[in-house]
Amino acid sequence: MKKLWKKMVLVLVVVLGVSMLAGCGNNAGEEKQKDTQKDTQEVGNKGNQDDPETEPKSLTRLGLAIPSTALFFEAEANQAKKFCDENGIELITVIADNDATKQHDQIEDLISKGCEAIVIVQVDKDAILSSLESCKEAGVYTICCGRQPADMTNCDVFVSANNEKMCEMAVESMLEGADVAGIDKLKVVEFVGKLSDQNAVERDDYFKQYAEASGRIEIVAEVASEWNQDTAYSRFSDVYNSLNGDFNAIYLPADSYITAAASVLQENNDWGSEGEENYRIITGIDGSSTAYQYIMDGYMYSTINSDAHEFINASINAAMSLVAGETCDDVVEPVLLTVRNQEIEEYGDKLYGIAYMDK
Amino acid sequence: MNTTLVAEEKKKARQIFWLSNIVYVVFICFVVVFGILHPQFFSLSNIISLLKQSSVWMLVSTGMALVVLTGGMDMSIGMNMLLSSAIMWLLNSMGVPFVLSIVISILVGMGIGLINGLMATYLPIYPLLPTLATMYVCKGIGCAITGGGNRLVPEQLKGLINTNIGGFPIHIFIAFAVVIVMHIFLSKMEIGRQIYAIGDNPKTAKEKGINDVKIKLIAYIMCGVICAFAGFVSTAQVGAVTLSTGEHMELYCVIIPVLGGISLAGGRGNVFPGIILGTLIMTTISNSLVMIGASSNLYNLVYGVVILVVILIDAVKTHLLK
Repeated sequence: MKKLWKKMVLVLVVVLGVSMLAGCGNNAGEEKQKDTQKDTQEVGNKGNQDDPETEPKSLTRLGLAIPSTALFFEAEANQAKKFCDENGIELITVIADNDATKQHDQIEDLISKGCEAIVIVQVDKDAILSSLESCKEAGVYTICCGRQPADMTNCDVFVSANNEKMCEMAVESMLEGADVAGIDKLKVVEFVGKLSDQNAVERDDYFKQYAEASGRIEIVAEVASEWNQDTAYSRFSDVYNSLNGDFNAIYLPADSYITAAASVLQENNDWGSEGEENYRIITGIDGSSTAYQYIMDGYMYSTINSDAHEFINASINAAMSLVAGETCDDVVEPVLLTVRNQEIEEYGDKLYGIAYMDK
Repeated sequence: MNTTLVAEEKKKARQIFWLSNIVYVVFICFVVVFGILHPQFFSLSNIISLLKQSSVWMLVSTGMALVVLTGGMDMSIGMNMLLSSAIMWLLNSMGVPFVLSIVISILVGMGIGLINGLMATYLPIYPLLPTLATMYVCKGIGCAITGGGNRLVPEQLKGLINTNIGGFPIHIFIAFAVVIVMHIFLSKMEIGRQIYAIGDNPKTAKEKGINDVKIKLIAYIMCGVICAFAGFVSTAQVGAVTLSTGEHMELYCVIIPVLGGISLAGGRGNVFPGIILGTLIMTTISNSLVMIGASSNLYNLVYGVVILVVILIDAVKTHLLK
């Protein structure tokens, strides 16, 4: 019995010893990585932690944290996989189901899995700050993709979705559509997303701001959609009834609401394409495949295309530059495009949403 | 001594009566006052709109009520709607005939109900947890199928569900019919009465020879089938299967039966008119908030207060009945 105890204690000591050594190794690695990050930021090409004097370090493992599997994020995840496969980068993608706490845990997990950089599409601009801090402490580069954190201190690069610009473009496009249709004043029904979501808030605030500044747009009602199609359908039904259909334009902060809007208008026999009496100027944001279809059919005027593929390409390029120790702009702005029928014909497959139209 | 007891019993009965009906009294007063302030509220188009919005909640709440009456809970109802509709869309897009895709999707809903029923019966934990697991599984598969985007439903489904009879879409009549049929099933048929018996007192019901496994399975399976059908109605209304199909449905559809007088403790309450009234209360709240142009945050606040009040009333009523 005593011998057995001795053996067990011995095994325990060996295991502990090995663990400590391994732990030291890891810490050392982390410290080294931190130092390396410092060096790369300060000096430039001294990125390789194994041999700082030779080749620049290249990105080998990348984390991607997205809020949900909504089409835009799915497009980002697909493009990230394609990009990483082509460049020999291991990609780990995590989906937070729109839960900020879950996203925090997932990012901690990505850090522990040894990601050198993480592309983050945050759920919440405030909740993400602690994750960004953890990344900084662990020497992991962070690229905030499309959504700006409340504090940029610990974010290395922000790939800006620029909601303000998108709303400005949406207002301009609506006014252009009104001119084409010979409408002077626009009575707009504005769909609003979930007000705990940063994009929803910004797309609401900026739209109101530019609509008011235009002097030609009156927001006659809001549809509090909660980013939920069923809710959007129900509340737009109520809005339609309370206005007796007396509006000539619709603003969608996300293209996906076009189906709910179309259903309500169809049910009320008030759904018309361009040139018809009950045609309304409908403009959305995102550039989704659904919107393209409605634009091509003449029911929707335009969508402001924030290209999911471009966003992710810019983000991974930034991650590669940072890991390689190259300088990188703090803010990267992918090009936004107003997509109408003519743009769909002109750009075709280059628009990311086209790839998802067959679904 | 007897007189005191009788007086106390009478007082208790009065309290239970008021607790059972106070929600309806407040609701009727609210409708009258709001209708006077906003005449548009009583317009035919608004009433049709209210009923159209009610049908999905009415259907799913009826399914939930069946489960709640057994003393159970089904948190997967919303994601059952998503998965069934997603499978219907997938099969249809693969060229499977419309009717067959509907039948297969209903079978999927039935399967989800069966799994929930088996877990609720055999696992020694409150059914909320295993059905939460089913919820996530359904959500995962549903999201994988739809891929995150709007998947337009077949035109046949839209045409079928939105067919008008006398100006009212057919799904309104179907929802009312389901409530009434379920009421007859629960009140007139042996199995229906056994559902009440199991929910009221499982031990006594078992002693009386009621097969609780069979009865619970029937309740969960029926709930699954109704939810799958509700998924078709919901997606036909919106025009697409989306990631938000069925989202948060479990929360609303737990509250509606309680609003309708069905006890969360099981074994008590009537599907008719309870579910119809409960649903109308919920849709009227939403409708009236839209009419006054309330902000998004106010919706949540009002729903929260309503839920809290209803739960308190149910708790007090259950306490008094004990």
